[in-house]
Amino acid sequence: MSVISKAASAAAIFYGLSAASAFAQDTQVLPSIGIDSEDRPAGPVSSEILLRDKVAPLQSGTSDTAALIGRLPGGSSFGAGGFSSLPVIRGLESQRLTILVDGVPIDIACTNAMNPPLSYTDPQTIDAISVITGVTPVSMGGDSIGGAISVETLTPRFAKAGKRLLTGELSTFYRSNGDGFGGALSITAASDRLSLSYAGSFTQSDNYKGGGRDGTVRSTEYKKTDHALSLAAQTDIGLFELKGGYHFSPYEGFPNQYMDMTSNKSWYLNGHWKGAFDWGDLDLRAFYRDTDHRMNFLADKGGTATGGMPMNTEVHSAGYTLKGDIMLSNRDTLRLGSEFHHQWLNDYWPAVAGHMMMGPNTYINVNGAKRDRLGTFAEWEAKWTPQLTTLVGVRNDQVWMNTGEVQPYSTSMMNMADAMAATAFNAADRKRHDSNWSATALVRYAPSDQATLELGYARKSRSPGVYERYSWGRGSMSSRMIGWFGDGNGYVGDPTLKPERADTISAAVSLKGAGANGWTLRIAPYYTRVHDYIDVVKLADFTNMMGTPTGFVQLRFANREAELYGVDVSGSLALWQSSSAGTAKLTATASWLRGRNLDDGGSLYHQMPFNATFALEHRLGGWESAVELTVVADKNRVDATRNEPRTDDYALVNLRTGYAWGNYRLGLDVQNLFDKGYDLPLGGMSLGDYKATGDLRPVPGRGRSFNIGLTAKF
Amino acid sequence: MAASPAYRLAQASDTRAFGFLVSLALHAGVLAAYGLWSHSPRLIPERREEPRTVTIMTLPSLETEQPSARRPKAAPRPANQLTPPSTTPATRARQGPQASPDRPASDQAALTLPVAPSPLPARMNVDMPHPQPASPQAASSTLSTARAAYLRRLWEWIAARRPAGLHLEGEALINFSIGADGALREISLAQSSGNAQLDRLALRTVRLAAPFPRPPESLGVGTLDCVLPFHFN
Repeated sequence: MSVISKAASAAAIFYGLSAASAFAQDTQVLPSIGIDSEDRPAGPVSSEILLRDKVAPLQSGTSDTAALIGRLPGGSSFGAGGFSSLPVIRGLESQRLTILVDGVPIDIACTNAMNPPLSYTDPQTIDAISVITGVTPVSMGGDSIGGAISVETLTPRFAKAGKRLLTGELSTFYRSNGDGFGGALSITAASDRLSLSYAGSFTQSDNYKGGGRDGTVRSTEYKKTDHALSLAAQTDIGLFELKGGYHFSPYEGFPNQYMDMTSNKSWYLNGHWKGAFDWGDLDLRAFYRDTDHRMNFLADKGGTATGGMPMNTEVHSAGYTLKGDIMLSNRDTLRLGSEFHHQWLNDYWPAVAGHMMMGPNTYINVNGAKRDRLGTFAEWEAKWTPQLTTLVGVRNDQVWMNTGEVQPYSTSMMNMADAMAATAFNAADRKRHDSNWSATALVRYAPSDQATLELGYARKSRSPGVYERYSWGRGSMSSRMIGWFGDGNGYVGDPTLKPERADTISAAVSLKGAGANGWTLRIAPYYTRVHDYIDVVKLADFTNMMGTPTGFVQLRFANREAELYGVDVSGSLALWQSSSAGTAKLTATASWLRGRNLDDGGSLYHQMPFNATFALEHRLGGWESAVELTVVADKNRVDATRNEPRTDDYALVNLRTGYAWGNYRLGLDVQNLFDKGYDLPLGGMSLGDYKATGDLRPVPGRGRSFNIGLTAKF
Repeated sequence: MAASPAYRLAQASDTRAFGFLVSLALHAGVLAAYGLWSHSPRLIPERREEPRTVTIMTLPSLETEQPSARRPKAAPRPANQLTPPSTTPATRARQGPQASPDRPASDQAALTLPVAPSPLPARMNVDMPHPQPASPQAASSTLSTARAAYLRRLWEWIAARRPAGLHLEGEALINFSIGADGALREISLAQSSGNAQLDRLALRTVRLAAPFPRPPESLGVGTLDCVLPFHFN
């Protein structure tokens, strides 16, 4: 029998109801294959995903999304403002990573990277955070040499067929240390074809107190709000999404910068279409974002009564990403993609009336810089057997950069260094074009359900950013306004910088015990060699009025050779499970790495010392608790060129408990239970305190904080 | 650097007091919401409460029909029969309409699903129990065993290639036939899910799964015709 009759088909549909006498004699009715949209395809072994249920219990403890990434094996973050720390994966900081929010990149406007991509997200409204720490496939992004972070918010939800859906979440929290508080509302109204969602959040905090006798850490206050509206439609030709949002932060203190953020306004519009075809899938995103960023001094650094030092930045970003998955056979998938990313940036420092040095002209730091990138990739995924998968990809990114002429505050004696630098900069050829090739290869082998092995190689490239190439000021003050390292040093760009090229070998072994209550263990070693790593060379020591060195130095971005290697380990062990005593498990993560500058043999800057977290988690019905111990070794491998401070080892204990009943959850936690005083290994120098007290110290970590959070779902 | 005289933001203390009040108000709001909602009927299905690790319905094992052994009190049924599985309520809820135990069995389809309650696994059950060895004295039973084993393998083969969902709900039924060499001979949409995207995904999944494992010769059929439902949620 070659064709099933119409009658037989109808019978097949209703085989459960009819006597099905019309069935062809040998038609086989198979059980249904269920496809759950919540089910995510397995990512690389060296990856982590934090879904809403994992993020929610942490949202009362931090408003900084990057701090959540610091909790994952291989993750850490450069200290910055209260919601703006810069994520680091395996020793490579944010500008070397692919960071996407809702599938699109966000450009940093600020010379101090005060508004990084993740600062536009709030843990209260995040649906999922995916992090790849190992080899990142070329289809996941270009113009980066490290891992990838992807944050999803407002994922469209639809009602069941013929039904209506009204759902949402309302949450609020309070933190005792710094009197921080906030709230969020997300709400979705949907039919089975149309979905309208809103998510809004607000958070604010005063300066926090360090542990022990560290006292108040100045310039750590902040306040911000984010709002997003999304309209999605499921049609016969695919899913359409249109999403717009607005972010406003009236102030955010930066303890390790000379400046504070005094306003950051940003709005965006993202369009997304995803269609399934007989031959595969197509996914198109287009984005536009406009950011208006201002820096000056908050009260701890002297305020703005006498004008302060205004620094303004405007950024426009636009672009698209197009990805196609072409199913060649049941073994092979070909993934092709194209993306374009346009960035336009203006950074200027208005003259301060009556000020001898900061005037009479506007200091033009970056004049209409453009950075356009066109990326193209092809990737081939093959499932040779259910156990063996390979992924091979190649990618090219064309990067075009240019910028206009610049100008110092004046050409007076006080601004002579800047005036000479501006003349040289304006005379130089500033137009740059890079053609960057990348390639990745991954093999994943799962000999059984209990073991998975992954081996990857990547050749990745990244072109320098606008500030790395086009910062030109050579004066003490103007150069100290540049840099996202929080160390008080001055940074000077170099238009001749070459792109970084990194070769990475990464492996991962994931093992687990049989059964639902077993154990898991993952070990992931890696080695990265970076050619033309953008580091620094020293230009001069800064001196005070007496000519004595201040301890801060002027540095120029320069291509160096570097290597990073290390290992990330994580695991869990079920302790007990019973109906009366609940379930308990022990989890542990540990990261160790070394970053070396091969030119001077010293350490790379800001490398996280060995650190480990052990947690005992207990769950009984709706009651969930955890005791967490974090230990961090002393940081004694430091970058001598930048006068990086050493920091001592420390151990912190955190407690967390939460009770969920029905649609409500009450969470209580204590961070730094013993109020341990410690210095943040990647926190930089506490310049807010330095300006107020004259004593220079590394930025202290947060002291004890009692946090309470309430969440209601509806 | 322009160092200005100390200047404290005037609103700092006001902000603190304001902040505390707003926080109090928000907490009170959540509590009030609790009070209100706990007395109102629930309108929304709690999809978020479902365990995320549950990825697909349980596939009951495809076994040789042994009616007399399994259901001594049931009336004898023809050998080629589909009996809906009796499962735990949670499993039943996830299985879609075709698995509903209230529905009478058709008498033509070749699968017999076990009647014994199956445990509810947390994950897709692809490691199903293997078909029981055929009773040596019954040739038809051997044939059923071979067929059940093959269909089980075929189902796993296709299920392993199932696509990611689209956050849409619907059920599409696909008719297809397999040649003696395992090639896909015919494919058609027997019932639309109501959304062309989901229909396309279901058709594509079967088409891309070909060639299938070769049907055993003992089945003795030129082509094997199948109906496969895809349940999206």
